[in-house]
Amino acid sequence: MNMRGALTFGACAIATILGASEAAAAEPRTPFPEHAALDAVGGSPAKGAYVLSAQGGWPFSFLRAQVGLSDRITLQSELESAVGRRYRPMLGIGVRLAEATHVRLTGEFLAGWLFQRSEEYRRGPNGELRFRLAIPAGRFVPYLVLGTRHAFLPDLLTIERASGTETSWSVRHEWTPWATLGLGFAISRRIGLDLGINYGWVGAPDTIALPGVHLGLHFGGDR
Amino acid sequence: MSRARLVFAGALVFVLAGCINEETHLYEIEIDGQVAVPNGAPSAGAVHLEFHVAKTFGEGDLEHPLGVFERRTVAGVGPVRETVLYPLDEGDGLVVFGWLDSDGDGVHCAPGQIEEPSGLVKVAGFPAHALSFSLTLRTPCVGPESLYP
Repeated sequence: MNMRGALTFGACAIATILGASEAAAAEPRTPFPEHAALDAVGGSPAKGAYVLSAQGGWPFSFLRAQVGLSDRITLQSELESAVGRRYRPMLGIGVRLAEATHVRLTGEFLAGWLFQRSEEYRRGPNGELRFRLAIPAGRFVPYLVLGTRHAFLPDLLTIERASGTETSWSVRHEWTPWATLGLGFAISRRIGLDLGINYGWVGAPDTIALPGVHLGLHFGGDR
Repeated sequence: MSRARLVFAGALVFVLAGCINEETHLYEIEIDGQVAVPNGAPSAGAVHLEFHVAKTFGEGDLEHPLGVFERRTVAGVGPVRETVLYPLDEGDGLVVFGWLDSDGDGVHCAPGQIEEPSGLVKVAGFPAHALSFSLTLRTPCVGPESLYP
């Protein structure tokens, strides 16, 4: 490369860096107030917007889809798996309870079915009520999820007597309080990440709780 | 049956089959028995009875004899009539073990106390809703595991 070429390349590089710096300086602190990461971890995307999330971790992993029916109401579908042995397909709604520049509070109610295949089979209807609090700050979104889950597990008892066979049903209740603390990050308006710590206490209070972690990838659009 | 009814019936069976967690099968047995002690042996005291499956279901090393499913206490030696619910999913065969609570402490041969006789019998005719047995308490301070053949 001769001297003229080197000078031209250097000038272009400096101009590019300066241009990027000026663009960054001119960019507001929150370049895109609503983005996929915020909708994913804070819940309740706006009307017409959607977000798809895949969160993998131990012991819980999630697939979730949310679509905004109105500016406050969201339809969502979720599949949760615990180490490939326990699955919860769920369908529900989310309601944006509060929204401000740096706060989003969402309430969600989901209902579905629990399938667990392990040493102990667990199957039955399942419901969850949870709240999501997100505090967006630029590209970062710290968030907290608090929820209460309830599964109803039917048992069948058959007694063979000399006079005939009697069959009766009974239902056990499985309570799972839930908490997630995490941090979302917007790579772009459409793509985001999150890292979270889960604390799900399955079968509380008769069991022990296993804390876990997850890493999520979120994709959203149509806003 | 119309197609709609067939689909509905299939869906109902699927839902019911997909929501049973624990399925327990119990078999009611009215059991008449005679509990005795050898001639001349002390017979005062309550008799504690244990009803066991003769062989517990399991695979390989997990299969083992005996598994208690009911416990009863009767006033003393003599005729006994009890109704028990046998867990069909847990094993096969029926065994009755009993011991005489001579000192009334509720403990079979507590240290420093008198020796209390025990006995075991495998009930013939299982499964049936009406069975009978005869049990003689002749062996002091022995549990069912040692008495089972």
